[in-house]
Amino acid sequence: MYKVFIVDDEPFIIEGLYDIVDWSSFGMEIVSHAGNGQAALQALTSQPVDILITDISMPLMNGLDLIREARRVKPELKVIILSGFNEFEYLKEGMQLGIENYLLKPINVEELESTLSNTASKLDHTLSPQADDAYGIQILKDNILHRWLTGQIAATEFEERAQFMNLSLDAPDVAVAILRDKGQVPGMV
Amino acid sequence: MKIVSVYNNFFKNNMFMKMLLIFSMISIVTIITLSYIIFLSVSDSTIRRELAIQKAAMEHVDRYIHQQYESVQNMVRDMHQNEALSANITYLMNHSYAEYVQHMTNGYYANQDDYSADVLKHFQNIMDRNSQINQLMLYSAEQQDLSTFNQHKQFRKLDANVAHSYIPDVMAMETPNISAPNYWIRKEINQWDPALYSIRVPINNTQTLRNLGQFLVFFDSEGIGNALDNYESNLKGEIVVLSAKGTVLFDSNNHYYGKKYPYVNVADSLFDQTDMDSMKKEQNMYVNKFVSADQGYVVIGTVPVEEMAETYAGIRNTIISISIVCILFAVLVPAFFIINFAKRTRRIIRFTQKVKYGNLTARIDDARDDELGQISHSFNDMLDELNLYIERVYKAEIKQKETELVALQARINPHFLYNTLEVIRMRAISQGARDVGEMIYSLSVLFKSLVQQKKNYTLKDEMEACRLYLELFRIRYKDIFIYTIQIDAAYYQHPVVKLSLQPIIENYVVHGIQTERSDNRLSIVVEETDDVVQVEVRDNGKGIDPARLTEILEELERPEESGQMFGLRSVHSRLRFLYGPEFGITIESTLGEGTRIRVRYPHTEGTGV
Repeated sequence: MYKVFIVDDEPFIIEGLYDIVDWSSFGMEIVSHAGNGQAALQALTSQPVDILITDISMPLMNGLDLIREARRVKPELKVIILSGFNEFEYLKEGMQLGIENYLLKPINVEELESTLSNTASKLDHTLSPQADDAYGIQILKDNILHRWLTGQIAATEFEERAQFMNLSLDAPDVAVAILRDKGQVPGMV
Repeated sequence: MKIVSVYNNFFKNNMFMKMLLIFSMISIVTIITLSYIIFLSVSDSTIRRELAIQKAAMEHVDRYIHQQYESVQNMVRDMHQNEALSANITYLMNHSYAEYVQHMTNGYYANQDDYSADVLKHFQNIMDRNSQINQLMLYSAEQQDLSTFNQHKQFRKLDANVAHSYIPDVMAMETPNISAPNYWIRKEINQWDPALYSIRVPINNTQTLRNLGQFLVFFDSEGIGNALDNYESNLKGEIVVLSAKGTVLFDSNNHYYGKKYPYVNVADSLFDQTDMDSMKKEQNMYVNKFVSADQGYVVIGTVPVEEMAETYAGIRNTIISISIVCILFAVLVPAFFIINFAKRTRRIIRFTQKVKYGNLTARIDDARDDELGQISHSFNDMLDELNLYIERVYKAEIKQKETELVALQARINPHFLYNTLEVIRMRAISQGARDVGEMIYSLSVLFKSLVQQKKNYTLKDEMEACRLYLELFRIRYKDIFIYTIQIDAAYYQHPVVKLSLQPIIENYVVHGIQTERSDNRLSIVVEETDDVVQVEVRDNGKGIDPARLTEILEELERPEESGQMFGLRSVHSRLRFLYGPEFGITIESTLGEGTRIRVRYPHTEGTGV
């Protein structure tokens, strides 16, 4: 079971999140929640989790600062941002920090579920800490494109995120290359 | 061809140049005509004056010759009056010289006669007195001999017998008294100077009146020339005296002595009228003729045309230079004014072109108050008014609308709205009211799409908004109606005006849906015909009363005002305003069966929102 922590200044939203998704079906469970960044950080420091779902605009330390601080404790923490209306600047900043996805309110349930699924599979396949993620924004990009290629993202959501990340997909043709690790060859690194 | 191209370049559409050209032509023609007429008149009067002068000189010549003739007649009279002289002359004429001398000597001794009665002496005196006389001759008809006295006071008596000389015949002829010296006489006395004229007076016996002989005097033509001395400075051309046969008796320029005078047919002249005004122009000469009919000579004055022209050359040059100056003035001064005017007019035209191409800030700079200045000022004033009107009315109106929009948006704090809606939604889901949650979700997204300003608003976006709207109502009305949207992916990216389909959907939901039935259907179909992308919204609702339908269609055409049917009319007028009159919406409806509304967009790249 992967551990999930939810942070939002609206208690009803937290409560709703508990209910709108069947967390166990993704192999996740919500271990705790907090109403502001500071409390969340304290909780996370004492009890690290795998996935952090946080709002951006909160009193006493907003989401971005929380992510930064939390990453110090656990660099490989997976983060999902919840964002309200017109918070694009914050979102961009958040992207730089390396997030799995951002969800705009009102929260699209399918999008949330798809993100959780993707994150779970990433967690499943990660054997070592991802220390060499040079660019934070790349994480989001990878996730979105991966989900797009595997048909796990709704068109609207994809379009919206592609535009946000300045991915231009106007060309008529797309090329996909699959690189497969052929296993270890003696003598090669 | 060159002329045609010059015409096209400079004159075709240029009123000013045409005006200038016409005016210049008229001035030039007028001035030239006037100066020519003046010149003709002046030259004419000059010619007349010169010829009059010449005529006076010619008269003088005529008088002089006449005088000479009279003097010769006087000589003869004198000879007759003096009895002794007369007798001696008779004696000399009838006898030889030797006999005459004897007679004279006898006379002296016998009668103590006057020395002055000596014919020779008498003649010598005459010659002394009159230096013009070249030769004095006495011809005796009886003896047929010629006694001659020349300038050098030599006396000879020459035999002129009819047997070997023509002189008697000559003397017997009825020739004019004044003529050229006869050839035979010349031959006899060996006098060939051509510049001579002869005057002949018959000598008759006073009692019997029988012709005794002739008295001939040869005069030097030079004498005539001297008579002209007074006129010398003023005289132009030459004066010629011709005998009846055309021989030159006198030539003021000494050209034609001994030759035939070429300019006048003398035979004609003698019978011509002797009026004063016989001025003829022949062979580049002005010919002045004065005939002395009875005496048998003609005085002719000629002036070469070139020589005459010299007199009025001065005047001619003056007239020409004045005309040129006048022409220059007449052309340049108006040209200056017209070109100035043309420049100003062209400036005004340029400015109107500027305004035509959209530059409303152009102003004409023309300070004067004449007609063009007034046009310029009016033009500027008009533009000022126009700009003012644009500022005040249009811009203000637009600003007003913008402000209202901003105010509207400001009143709804989106953050508050969405957060609250989200909370409500989560609560609903927590309470197990999933459908409530979905409704709230739809509403939330709908609101978002309304408020958000997307740069490229596409048909897909509008469709999505319609879908959310319909979804909301589907849940609200608890599945008593279903909707279908049919759109080819090709039209997704087609640019459309925001809120061009939604009001139509709204219209159906508000007016058309029949809540007592559960089979309400709405279909949206997108298709393309020619250059038009058409969205057809069809329902099986209440339909519209035909009278009302006509009313609606009429109201659609009227300009947008606040009032009923804000949505439909707004859509229609906005579409037409942006894309053109052939686009917009059409409404068909059957009461009790349903309504079909078609929305037409242009297929090619629209002007955008």
